[in-house]
Amino acid sequence: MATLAEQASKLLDFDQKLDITLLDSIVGCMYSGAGEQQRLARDVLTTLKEHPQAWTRVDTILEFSSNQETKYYALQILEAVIKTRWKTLPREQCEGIKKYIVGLIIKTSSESETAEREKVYLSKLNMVLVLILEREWPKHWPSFIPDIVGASKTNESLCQNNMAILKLLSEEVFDFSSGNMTQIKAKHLKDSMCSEFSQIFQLCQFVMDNSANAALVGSTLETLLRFLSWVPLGYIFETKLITTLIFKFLNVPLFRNVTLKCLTEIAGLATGPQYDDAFAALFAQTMAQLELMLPLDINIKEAFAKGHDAEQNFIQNLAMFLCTMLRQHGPLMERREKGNVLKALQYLLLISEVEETEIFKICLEYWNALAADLYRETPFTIPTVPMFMTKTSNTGSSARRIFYQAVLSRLRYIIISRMAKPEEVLVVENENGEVVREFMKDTDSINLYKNMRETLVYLTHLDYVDAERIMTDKLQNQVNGTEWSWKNLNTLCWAIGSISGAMHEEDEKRFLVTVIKELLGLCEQKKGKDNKAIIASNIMYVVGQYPRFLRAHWRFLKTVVNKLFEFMHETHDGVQDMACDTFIKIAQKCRRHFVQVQAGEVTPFIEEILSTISTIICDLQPQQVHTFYEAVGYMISAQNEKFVQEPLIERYMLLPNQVWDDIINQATRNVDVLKDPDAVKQLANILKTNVRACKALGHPYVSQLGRIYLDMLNVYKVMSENISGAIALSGENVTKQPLIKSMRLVKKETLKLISDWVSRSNDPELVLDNFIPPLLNAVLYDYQRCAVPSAREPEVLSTMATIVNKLEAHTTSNVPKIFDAVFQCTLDMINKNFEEFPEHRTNFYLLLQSVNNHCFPAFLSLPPAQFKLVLDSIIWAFKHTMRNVADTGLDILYQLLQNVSQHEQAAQSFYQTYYIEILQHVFSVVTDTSHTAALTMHATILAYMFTIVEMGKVAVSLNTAVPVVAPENLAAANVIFVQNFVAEVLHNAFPHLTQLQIKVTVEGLFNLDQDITGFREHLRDFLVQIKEFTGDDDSDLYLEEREGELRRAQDEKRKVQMSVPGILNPHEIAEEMQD
Amino acid sequence: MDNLIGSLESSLSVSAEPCSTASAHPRFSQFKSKTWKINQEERRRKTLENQKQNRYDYYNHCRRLAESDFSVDEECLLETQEEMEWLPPKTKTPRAYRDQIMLSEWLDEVPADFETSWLAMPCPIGKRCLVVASRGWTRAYSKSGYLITEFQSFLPGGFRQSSDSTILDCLWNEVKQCYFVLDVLSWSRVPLLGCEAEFRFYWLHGKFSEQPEFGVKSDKNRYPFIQLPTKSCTKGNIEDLLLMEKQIWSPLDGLLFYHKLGYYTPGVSPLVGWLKPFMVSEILNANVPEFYMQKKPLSYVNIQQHLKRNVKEKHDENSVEMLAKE
Repeated sequence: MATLAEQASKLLDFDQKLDITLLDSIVGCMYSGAGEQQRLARDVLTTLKEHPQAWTRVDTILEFSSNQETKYYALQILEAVIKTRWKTLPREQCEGIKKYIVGLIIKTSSESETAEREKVYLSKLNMVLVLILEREWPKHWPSFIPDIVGASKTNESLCQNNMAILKLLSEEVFDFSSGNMTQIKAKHLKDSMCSEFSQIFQLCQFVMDNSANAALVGSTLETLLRFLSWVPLGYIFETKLITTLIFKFLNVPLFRNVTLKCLTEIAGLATGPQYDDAFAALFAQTMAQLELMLPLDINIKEAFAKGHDAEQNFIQNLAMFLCTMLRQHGPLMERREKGNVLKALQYLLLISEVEETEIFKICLEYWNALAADLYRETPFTIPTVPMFMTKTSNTGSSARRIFYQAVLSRLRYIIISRMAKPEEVLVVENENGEVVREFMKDTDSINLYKNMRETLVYLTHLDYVDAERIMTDKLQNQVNGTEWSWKNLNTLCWAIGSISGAMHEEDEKRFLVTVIKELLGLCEQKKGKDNKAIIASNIMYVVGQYPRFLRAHWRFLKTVVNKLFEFMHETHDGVQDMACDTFIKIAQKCRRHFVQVQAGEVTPFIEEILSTISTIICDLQPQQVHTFYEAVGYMISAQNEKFVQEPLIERYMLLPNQVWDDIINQATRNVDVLKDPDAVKQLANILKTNVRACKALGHPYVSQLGRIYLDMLNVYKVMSENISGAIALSGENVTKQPLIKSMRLVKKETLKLISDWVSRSNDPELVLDNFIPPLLNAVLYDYQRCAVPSAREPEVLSTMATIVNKLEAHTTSNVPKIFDAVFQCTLDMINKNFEEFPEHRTNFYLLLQSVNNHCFPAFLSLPPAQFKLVLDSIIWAFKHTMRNVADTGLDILYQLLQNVSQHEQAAQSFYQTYYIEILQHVFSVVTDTSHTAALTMHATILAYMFTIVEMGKVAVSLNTAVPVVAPENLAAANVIFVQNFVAEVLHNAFPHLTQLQIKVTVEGLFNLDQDITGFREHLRDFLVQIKEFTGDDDSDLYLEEREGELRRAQDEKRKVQMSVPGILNPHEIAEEMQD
Repeated sequence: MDNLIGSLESSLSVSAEPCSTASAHPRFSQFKSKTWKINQEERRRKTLENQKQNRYDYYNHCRRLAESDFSVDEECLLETQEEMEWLPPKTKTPRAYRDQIMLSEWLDEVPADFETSWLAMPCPIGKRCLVVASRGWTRAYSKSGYLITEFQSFLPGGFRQSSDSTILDCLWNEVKQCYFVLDVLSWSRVPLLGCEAEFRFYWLHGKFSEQPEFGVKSDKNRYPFIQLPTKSCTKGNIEDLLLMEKQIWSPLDGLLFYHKLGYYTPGVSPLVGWLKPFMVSEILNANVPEFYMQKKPLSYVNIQQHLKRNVKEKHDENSVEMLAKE
């Protein structure tokens, strides 16, 4: 191993001749070796790559090495030097490298066999050439386009590779230029490419017309595809390009995919009406060709299932083409190509049946747009005339709807047959070790459901009779067995549930009664608990989706709820969950009906629930009980009369309160009861029930909270002491024990309950007087005193943030107390690095943010040393690479700057002390690539800071060397000072930038400070420049042009400023404008 | 609409147990249930008959439950299923304890031999659970087989030093923080499932009198276990049970009625009956204290009025579905 290291050092000695065999063996070791040896090889290669002279070896390596991987490595060295130091190389070296690479490409690509064999190597060479081009063309290589076009004519293999180079170039310039080159440079390259495109186009056309080489034609079409989005329209519409594509290539299996993609690209172009004829012809001709290739009576679903990749891709591309064409030119084609539109729709219907979600999504997007468009022509209105007069189906009316009628009916059928799942439940273990069910919010499947539902709702509006017929038919097929399966039944019921509200109430009622009756029949008919459980779940799903129906039929609603209570005793898998989920859904939508006396009843139904609650929930799991409590809470929340509601709440919480009181009483006699695992578990459970009750009841939960509040805080303190005691006794590892976890859970639930309630409360005085003082005493003291940082609950911080957010200025007087307790000790936890205690970190800054937003005066009254600590911690925040923390930090800073500006006196001393420091820190993150995601916010803050200087809001001299300046010169002096300061900072940080580059950058920052987008792009350009050593030649940065643009921006800004009276300093206004 | 509500209430079910106590008592329900075709008395007779022919291996069943050993040969199960009245447990942990508890039916038809062959048991409010004491821990499982909690108890098998095993059918009362013992499946490894109810209660009574410490909370017995008494089903006994207010198990949720000869079988059994106190007056014609009568759910009062009214209106209206069982 030592010998390897020893030998390797020879490689780094640039006075010796390069030992290719040695290099090959080290590269080999790096790719196929293992362990220490491999690590060593990697280190050697990295060191070599980073050596400034490394690139001088590249030609030798490429020429003599026989190892592909070594060659690849050499090209990586070259790539690095081109990207960062190209401009600093002497011109002749540049020319040398350029010629060498071109020669190599020509050599490798001229022989079709070699080109094929060394495909990977060749494509890397191409990439290197494009990198060189980005720097050389057009200035140092004006003849590049004629060169490459000319060379292409010598031989087909070479031509094929040149197509690949042109494609790469197009991608680099038009698709990926943002962030990789400055805006102005990208513009130049684009202009050059457009103006010289005719030669490229002729080359493509020549190949397409004359070549019999399939591979060459293929890559030409691929290259053309990249061009279509940007070439001048004339090349597309005023040449025979389109007809060549359609008649020569579309029906050739080898080319049909790329051809169809080209046609899609063309169909998607936004042009004026002058090309309507061309589009109509394109559509008609393509349809004619397609019909020959893919007869309209073919079963695409089957063909797709059996097809190979290329055939499956063709179906997908066809979907893309048709959807793009019809979306972009729908009205035109409806006018001129009716027959073809119907055929295209027919294809789309067939494709929509393909069992591949991605393809279905493409179609669905179009269907959704079409249905929405047709619906908006004559939207659904609540009928003002009597029902019987509107009974006639609301289809018909417009000619367009008649035109689409048959298609839409088929579409309804398809969507109903493949309706997506409306909700996803995951069973996961949470951080407290409990197995919980989680409702997923934003999954692919749920988004698909949302889009399908929206489409189906439009389709139902367009012809509800048809929608109802299809659903009833399909339901019939479940009953008669032809389509019976769990999946089909679920799908159908999701579809039925998805159109709730889309029909007139009377129609909906009739429809729903039929549906439920059929499903009940099905349930009786099928044997076995599994079958019955599925059908019952579906019935409950459908019922839960139609709250309007439930609200209108009390006895039905009551029967459903009693049935759910019955299911809460059912032990078959999933039935209890289903019952609880449906119950809460119904409780939320129909809550009022449970607290009112219904027709035929003596008391509200809630009375009955409350008197039998223990029997109803006796077979449920704790989690299900919590759901049940939340549901009942929603019902009680609908009772607006306080004197009726309070006794309801008391009875509602009776059961948990009895157990709570019992444990508390035991604990008063012997506090060790609170160390019993079962007692702690029960407390956590009761608190969870309370959390749910609070969530449902909102502010009125106060009566229950008041009842347990002080005991709860005492329990909190005891739990905390127990935990600290256990840690002191057995070390931090003890926190992983179930008992300690349960104790922490009690603390967390307590905090959650309090912050949930505070955020729902509606009486700040009440909260402030009765609930905050004991809370601060118990919780804050405990937090601060806690000897082991990891035992501090991060929720303490978020609870405080919630309180500040809710009570706003009311709680300003409490801020010092909060800060005293949490600020220093939390800061000590998070200021060592950027990673530890992520939750504390996040919550700490959320607290700071809420105080800054709502209790800013509290900041102002801090002693200077403390204020500096706050500011330092904000600066610390935006240096994080944890996105959320950095973002919060920037938000706080921006808001802080604005808040400060509202307090004239404080503002000036703030600027004097901190302005320059803040500026410096913000620039340090702007130029750090790991923070680019926050560039917009950086731009916003910097723009704001420059603006206040410019506008003269800073009434003190920022220049400590010249502390006193005459007021009328102050703004100008500060501007100059800040500009110089920034220039200096940048110059020190990036000594490789030229004076002119820095000058343009700094000027731009001021000129664009009223235009955040422009400002951000300007910063982005700057970030591109700092990656590259420019050398003396900065001509291709087009700095002069950039200066010109910035001047125009400056003039614009002035004009805007002048239009607002008073915005400009009278000293700045030209004489003739003053009367 | 009435039609629809009727079939929703009567025909929507998963387990399809006749007279299930999860739904309303048949005599207090608005709708006639379609699911049970054979009457209750007939089902009782059949169950007793089946019981005699049963050759199930109770010993192994108990052992498996107690030792959480569910590695039973599936094939063997399939073979024996044919000849058995009830199915052995599903063998997949962790919910192997699901559906092992014997549940009651509503007492609808009063048996002819009620006073001589049946026992009445007062039943407090609580969460039904299977208490399994084995391998040094006492664990409570819900009806659906979820582990509710585990703790130390004096039950044979339920404390660290014990290598015994015991399975009880209990009610967990959250407020009183104790377990009421309804029945026993096995005691100290002696399987009692295949024994008649009267014997099981006798056995339990013996064990609980020998060792009163089961009923006392202590460090080694986290929650008290309290045995519930049984009495023969004379009207006087039943009225007495309802009148005893001072007992730890009052107030009652209801009364359970066990056929003396019934074995302990998982799932709903027609040999166990259930009534809420207020129903006793109507079904058994006994006196019920006013305290319990007041607890009669308003909807029941309502239904009765409703049914009466309906009978009157029957001629005018066509709601044949509404069936007054009078």
